[in-house]
Amino acid sequence: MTSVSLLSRQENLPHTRKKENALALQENIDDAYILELLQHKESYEKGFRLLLQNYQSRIYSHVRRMVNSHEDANDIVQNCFVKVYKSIHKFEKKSKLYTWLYRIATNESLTFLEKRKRTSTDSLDSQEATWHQLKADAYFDGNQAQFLLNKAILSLPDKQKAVFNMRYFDEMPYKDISEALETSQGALKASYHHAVKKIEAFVKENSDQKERNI
Amino acid sequence: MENKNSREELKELSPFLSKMKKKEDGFSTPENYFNYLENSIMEQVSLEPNPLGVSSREEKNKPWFSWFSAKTVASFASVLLLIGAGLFLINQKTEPTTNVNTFAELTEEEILNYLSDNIDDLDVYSIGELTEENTGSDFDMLDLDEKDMEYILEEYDGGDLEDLL
Repeated sequence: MTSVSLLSRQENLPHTRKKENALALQENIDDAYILELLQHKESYEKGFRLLLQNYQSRIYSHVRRMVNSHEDANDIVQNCFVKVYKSIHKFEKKSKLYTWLYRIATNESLTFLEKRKRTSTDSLDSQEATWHQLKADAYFDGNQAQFLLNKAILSLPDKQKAVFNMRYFDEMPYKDISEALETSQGALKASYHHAVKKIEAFVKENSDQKERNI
Repeated sequence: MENKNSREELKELSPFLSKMKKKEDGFSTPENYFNYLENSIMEQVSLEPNPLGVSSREEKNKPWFSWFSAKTVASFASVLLLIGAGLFLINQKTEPTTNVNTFAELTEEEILNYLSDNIDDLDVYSIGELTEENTGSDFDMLDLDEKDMEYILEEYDGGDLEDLL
């Protein structure tokens, strides 16, 4: 589908849908340009820098929501992009560029969390420690509701956490999440719905508890 | 359900969560963090080889000596070293040992003259070393002077002395 025909079909769509489509179209054009640059030795560095500028913020946010700490997220993101630099010339375009990036970032984050669990003796203590770390984090300036939400998300299993974050915060379509996590759309929907229910229950219970304590 | 966007889906699943004003996680970053991140990553990848190899422009601009990689130079140097060491060893082995040939050429008269001129420098140990016989005796450990020799000669008869020596 060419960009011209895509644009002409936009005219009859509602405004929000037009905006989303325009952004998606721009993204596709940018990705195509980036991948073209990355096919040639002379322009490889330029292409990689462009990729970095386009995606570093999104990848950082995704990783940060998985691991919470800014320092840990910083390390993981840098490792991710070095891996991307070494291997993007092998990217086969079977998926979108950004879902491929999300896959790398998610795998790195899950590996990190797994290592952290192994070094911690008690999973409950580890969770408790992470909550305290979140509260004490100099780079967390959310309100009480956001703190409760993050606490609830922390209590999810790691893979479910990734699904929830990608759908809730990044508003990714299930098709894209499926490409990133190499899981069926049906399984993802079930996982997300279950996560939403758990988080809702957690936030409500902890909000009520706080009110009772006052 | 498949075509619903995430907001519509969330409204149906949890009106409670969908009411949360903004979908923000509350996380922040240090000032100018993403500038720092970009520069830090570019610095790290600059140390990596270009996955597509060296560009054609860089290859044209390479000086002539850079065609030899460090590996090539090191291999060449070690081969030269081995050849040099080999030649040195061969030279050592083929050097003539003049002492053996010269000694064989000496006459009996020359040997006797040498011995009589240098008798003071020679001791029983040096002479003993030239023979295959074991000349070791208790007396080897002793540093005997003239007086000691006289005493020994007085105390021991010929037979005992012979045994001692």
